[in-house]
Amino acid sequence: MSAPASSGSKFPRNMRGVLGGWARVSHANFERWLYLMHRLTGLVVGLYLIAHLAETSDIVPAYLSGDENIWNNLMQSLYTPEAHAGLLIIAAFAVYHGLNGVRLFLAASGVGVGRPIRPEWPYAPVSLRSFQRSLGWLFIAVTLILTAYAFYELFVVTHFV
Amino acid sequence: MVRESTLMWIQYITGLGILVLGALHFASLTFLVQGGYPNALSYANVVYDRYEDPLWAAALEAFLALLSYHVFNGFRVLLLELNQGSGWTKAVNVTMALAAIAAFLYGTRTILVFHLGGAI
Repeated sequence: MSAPASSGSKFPRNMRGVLGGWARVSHANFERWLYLMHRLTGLVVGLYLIAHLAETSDIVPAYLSGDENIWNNLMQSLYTPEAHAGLLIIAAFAVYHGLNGVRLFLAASGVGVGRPIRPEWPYAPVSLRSFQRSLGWLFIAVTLILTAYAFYELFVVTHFV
Repeated sequence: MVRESTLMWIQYITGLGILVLGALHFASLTFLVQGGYPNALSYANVVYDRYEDPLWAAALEAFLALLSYHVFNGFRVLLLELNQGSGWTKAVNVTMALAAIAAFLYGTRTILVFHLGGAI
């Protein structure tokens, strides 16, 4: 019997497809793109949460010292087109991640993935021709609409009016 | 030990809660506040209208609790895909659980300081 590829472990390590797995999109279908975007948006919004907790904690010294300017000055420094461009991306990513999460929740619950059928040519999976795919497009459209609203609040109201 | 399937169901449930409370959070920064977004983040609006209001504070606290689980469990899933092995799995599980608790406690301090007279 041949020895495992990596000594010391019971099973050979199989790292194929682990690194760069999500970014491998040469034959990606629609759902695979949604998955890639779900991962990317989740990572970015999750990291933003950490920064947001640090940023909002500045209100504590403002409250304790009675100096409202500690907070107001920080907010003033963040009322820039650059910071608002960042917030616009966060808003778009958060909306996309939330709505696509609903699609995933429904699919995991068996909703919108179609009924099983006999495998017949051309063997297109029912789940990829069902309601969940329409839902994917619908949620992309809603994401674009809500991002347009975020643009209105962050740029039109704040910088242009 | 909690099963992975249970952790993922909690991930979905917390995600649905975040969707509702996140919508409320965005609304409280835009059309629910007088003057819209440019006025939403002034000290007066943030502290007197939201942090000091028990209902808003409770909603923020619930939002923070759901996010702490959802974000760090999400990071945990991403990190577990990067490597294999029981040592790595244990290290990632423990680190992400501690990070979630730390983020929750740090955010809680910001929300509750106004209700405890600056005691924390």
